[in-house]
Amino acid sequence: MINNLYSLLNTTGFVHLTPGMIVMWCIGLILIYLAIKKQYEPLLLLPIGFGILLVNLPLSGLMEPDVGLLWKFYHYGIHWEIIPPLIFLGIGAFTDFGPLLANPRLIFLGAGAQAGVYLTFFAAHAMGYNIMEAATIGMIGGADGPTTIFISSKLAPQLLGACAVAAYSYMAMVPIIQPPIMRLMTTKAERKIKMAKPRPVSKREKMLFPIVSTFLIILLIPASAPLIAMLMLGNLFRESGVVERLKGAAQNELMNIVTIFLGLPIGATMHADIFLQPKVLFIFVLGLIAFILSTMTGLLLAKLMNLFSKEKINPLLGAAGVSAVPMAARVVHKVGIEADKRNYLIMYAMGPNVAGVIGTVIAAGIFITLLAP
Amino acid sequence: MSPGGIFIQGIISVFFGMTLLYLSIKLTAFIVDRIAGKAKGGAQDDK
Repeated sequence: MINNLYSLLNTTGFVHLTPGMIVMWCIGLILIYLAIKKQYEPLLLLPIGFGILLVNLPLSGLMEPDVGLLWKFYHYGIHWEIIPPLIFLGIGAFTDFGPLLANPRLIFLGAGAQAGVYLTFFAAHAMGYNIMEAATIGMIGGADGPTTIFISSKLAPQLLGACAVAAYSYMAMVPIIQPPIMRLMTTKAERKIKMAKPRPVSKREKMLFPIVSTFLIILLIPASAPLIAMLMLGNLFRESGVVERLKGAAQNELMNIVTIFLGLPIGATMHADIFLQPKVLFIFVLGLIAFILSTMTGLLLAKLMNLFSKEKINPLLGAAGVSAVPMAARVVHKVGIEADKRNYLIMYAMGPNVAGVIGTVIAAGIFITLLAP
Repeated sequence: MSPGGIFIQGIISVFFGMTLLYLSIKLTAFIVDRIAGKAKGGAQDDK
């Protein structure tokens, strides 16, 4: 009788609970709280938080290879590299490259912010992470969730959960992290610089851009093809004006569905045994450093460009080179307005902001080309 | 490849890629302007 009772008890999850799992429940609940109460990236943090809860329920088997439901989402969605490119299709359908085409030299600010990615990669490797882990951690500085997930699934799947949560958390905290750095690294006079009126951009140019850039970037860095192809296809849907239904599907239905199938399995990679290690937890520190460095290198590049150009750039625009679209551009606008109430920077800041998306994809493509097994 | 090599190659490649994109945007704008200009000129000639 007692033996039967013991066997029955053994089939429940209660006796298999570990302190680590309870810590992970707390982390999951904090993410759900931040998503609901503070609205920090709720579309992702909410399913990620729930995924963390699920995978840390003993005996649920949700991440059991070949069998578990969340394992299937992870394997066929992320490991097979399907979901991040589909997210990029939606981003492309949302993105207006007009501000970038109107002022093309701002594209370099999107490249400048990537220096932070490589600096953090260098620092992470010096701290003992292997070269593929270091590349994945550095990518957090690009402030681009899907790209971080994409590179992580290829180079360091064991860090996927931590890197994704770090990337999305810091993206949500752009309005807190960036302004002090922007104020510290620019003078008030620089923040007051007014940008020249942008040139008008024709519909034809907007339509040609996704085609020309797809050719150029994929020819240069073939490894970036999955992301850049989908980004530019989505943008072509938008700019062509003849496939409104496809544009709408990419922006809404498809984006919403893949967001669900992205968030849950990411959370599910965060089992207590994997996540609660100093090496993994330190990723959050390095991710923050990556974010700060990317902001700084963007600002510095804008100041450097001012040394050589007649038409001055407001150096705040450099901070928009990280690809948290459109949050980073909004922050630039807000800090600019503080210095001069009539200085509207939002439209200019969208240029480096969308350039940052392209820059991050190129940076990821280079890492994959050089490091992927 | 060493981390230093990846660091340098990475930064150079990103800037090279962005320079190519910058030039392509400029070239596209130039060509589109020319086509638009010709079309406009043609229309005026027809008048």
